[in-house]
Amino acid sequence: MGHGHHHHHHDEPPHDHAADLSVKDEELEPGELSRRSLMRRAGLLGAATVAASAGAAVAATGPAAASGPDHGREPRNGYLWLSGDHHIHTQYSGDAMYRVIDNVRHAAAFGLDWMVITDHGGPQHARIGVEKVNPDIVAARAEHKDVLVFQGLEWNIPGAEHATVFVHPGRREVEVLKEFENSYDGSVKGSGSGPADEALAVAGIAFLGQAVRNRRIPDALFLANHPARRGIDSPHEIRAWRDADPNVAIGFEGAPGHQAAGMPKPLGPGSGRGFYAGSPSGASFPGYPLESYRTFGGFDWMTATVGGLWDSLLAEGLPWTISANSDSHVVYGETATRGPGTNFEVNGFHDDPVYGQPTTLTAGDFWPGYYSRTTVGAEDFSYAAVMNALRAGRVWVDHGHLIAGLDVRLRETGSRRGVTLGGTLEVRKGRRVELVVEVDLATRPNWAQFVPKLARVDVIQGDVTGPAADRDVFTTPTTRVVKSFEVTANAGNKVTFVYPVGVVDRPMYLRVRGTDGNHSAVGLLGAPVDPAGPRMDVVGDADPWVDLWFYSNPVWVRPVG
Amino acid sequence: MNLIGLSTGRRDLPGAEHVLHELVALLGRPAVRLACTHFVGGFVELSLETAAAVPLPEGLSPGEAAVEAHRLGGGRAVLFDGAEELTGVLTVEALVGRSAIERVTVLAGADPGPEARVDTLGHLRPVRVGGTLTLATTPGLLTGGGHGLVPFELADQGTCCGGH
Repeated sequence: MGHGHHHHHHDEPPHDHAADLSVKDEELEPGELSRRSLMRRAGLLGAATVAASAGAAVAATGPAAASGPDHGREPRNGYLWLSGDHHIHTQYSGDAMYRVIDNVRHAAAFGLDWMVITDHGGPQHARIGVEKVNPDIVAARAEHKDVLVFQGLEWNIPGAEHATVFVHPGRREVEVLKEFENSYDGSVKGSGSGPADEALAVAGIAFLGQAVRNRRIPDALFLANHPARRGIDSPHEIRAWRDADPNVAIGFEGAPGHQAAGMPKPLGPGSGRGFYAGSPSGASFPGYPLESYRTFGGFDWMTATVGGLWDSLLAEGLPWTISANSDSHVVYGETATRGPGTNFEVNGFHDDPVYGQPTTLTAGDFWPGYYSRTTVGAEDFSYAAVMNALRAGRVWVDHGHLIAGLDVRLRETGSRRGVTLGGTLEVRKGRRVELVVEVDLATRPNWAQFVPKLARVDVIQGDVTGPAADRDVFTTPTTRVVKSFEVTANAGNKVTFVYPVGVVDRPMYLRVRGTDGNHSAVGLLGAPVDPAGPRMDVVGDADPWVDLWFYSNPVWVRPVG
Repeated sequence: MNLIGLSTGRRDLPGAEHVLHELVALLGRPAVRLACTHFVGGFVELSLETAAAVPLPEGLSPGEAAVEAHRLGGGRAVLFDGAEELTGVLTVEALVGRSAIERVTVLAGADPGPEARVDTLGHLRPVRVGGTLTLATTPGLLTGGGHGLVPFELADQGTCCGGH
């Protein structure tokens, strides 16, 4: 979906700085300056605006205000839905092997529109890789104009897991990434897991926001990677990242990469799907249940548990997006090896790969686009639009190309208008609301050479109850599956389901999930919450192709008047 | 029952278990009924139940926090009565009958019946839950074929890929 609609990208800065008083008048673009003058005359600029832009007034602003500057401006012909992957390693990571262009060529062939190169932060990368990868990325952009190639890095969050950090291309993309890595990477700084480390993580996110406001870079985003894998991303840390700058820290991986890692031995790695096979350590958050260390239908426990951690964030009324990525290091069944004599420690990169047996059956990754997709509703084909779409929460994710397209719309019953993913519907008290879910079914084979068959679509609904009193809470009581729609065998190319939400007397959110129906189990919070959710993946026996799910971000509704 | 605590100064489980085994070697395995790790403030501390009162060998730091955590019914058992008897694939009934393990659970599922088969995989680390020594398991492949239960805590957690 979305292919054929591409036009040449442009480097339009995504942030409007007019309302941001930390940017001086003389630094504004002419359009921004005139908007600021207008706002000044209207009395709209003041302390509250500044506080909101610094992230201090998050709770008061709600999802609509926090969901990005482009909120509510749906293009006449709808959004351009662009599939991507924000978690990809290259030869500039010690545990990976491919050239940038290898990943880009595969991503393009497998249907991706955007991708982020995220080599591991660390001493070698901070010194060498972060700079040396840039010309490779610039060359790949020129060679593949049909794919947006961002530069980022996989940040070792001080005191926690890894995260994707990436920036809008520009003159200072390397300079800012390098300063960020040298100042805030847990591996570079030798971090542990104490309060000082948590504070350093928050300062790192704030640094990125400041770099945008100071116009050093046009935009920057943060998404936490494999958040539940080792139990070391505590709920209060995740909330602290979000609140450090909600324009930068926007989400986490709903599904980790390494989706082939559960293929059985001897023809596969025989590990946990996503390489989720761990157990608690001294650095783990003690409140997490043992189930959190495994994946469910390929998804991270934080996202897969209906009424769980992700829902507890959404219940605060603040956007938090999910993604699904490859985490490509070495793909399952690889027939190449690192070049002979490669020396990452000294050089900061691995020599180019060369053909070489034996075929690697212990690798657990897929190429970008081959299995996992993060699909965003962009206003146009540009770096800025992809970043804005992610920030706005216009996102759905799938595995194995389970669906070809998704249009989720919340509207007043009888209205043709309404809002889509990430948006907030404001509805007068007493008016009825309905959720319309239109799914383009897969009609062509995926990269495992079968046409995936969607069996069921679930609607999940929860109340927005405001800021969490307990920053370590990871459940929310009202969220549950409210409706399941079966997809009939003769459904054709498209199915449309309408869920009557009814009269809305309180703020709520709705999100959508679907499955091929091969593996289901009662959710961890019980059958009344999720009667047929994803099953816990079996370590050493998890064929990812026969357990496919898609998840959407939420759409919000708020009664007014 | 005598209880001693030891501060290891280690943050990693393998390192702390190494200290544990050295200590057990000093005391003699028969003297040790139960040896546990405890996560205390980012460190891994040890507690040992011994058959008779034994002094902490010279040069080692006592671990009061581990003793307290043990008294509160917590701890991850590295050595326990009968641990050496548990090898290969066993039924739940045999696991509980031959060792100090009192209960077997299955993640995201109901407790297994006595005939359910558990592959020990050479690495059992049952956890004290409110003082009850409990082995958490998950569905998995048995050595030699077929499906059954495997310990939740695996010795090989894919450390080659732990840095990804």
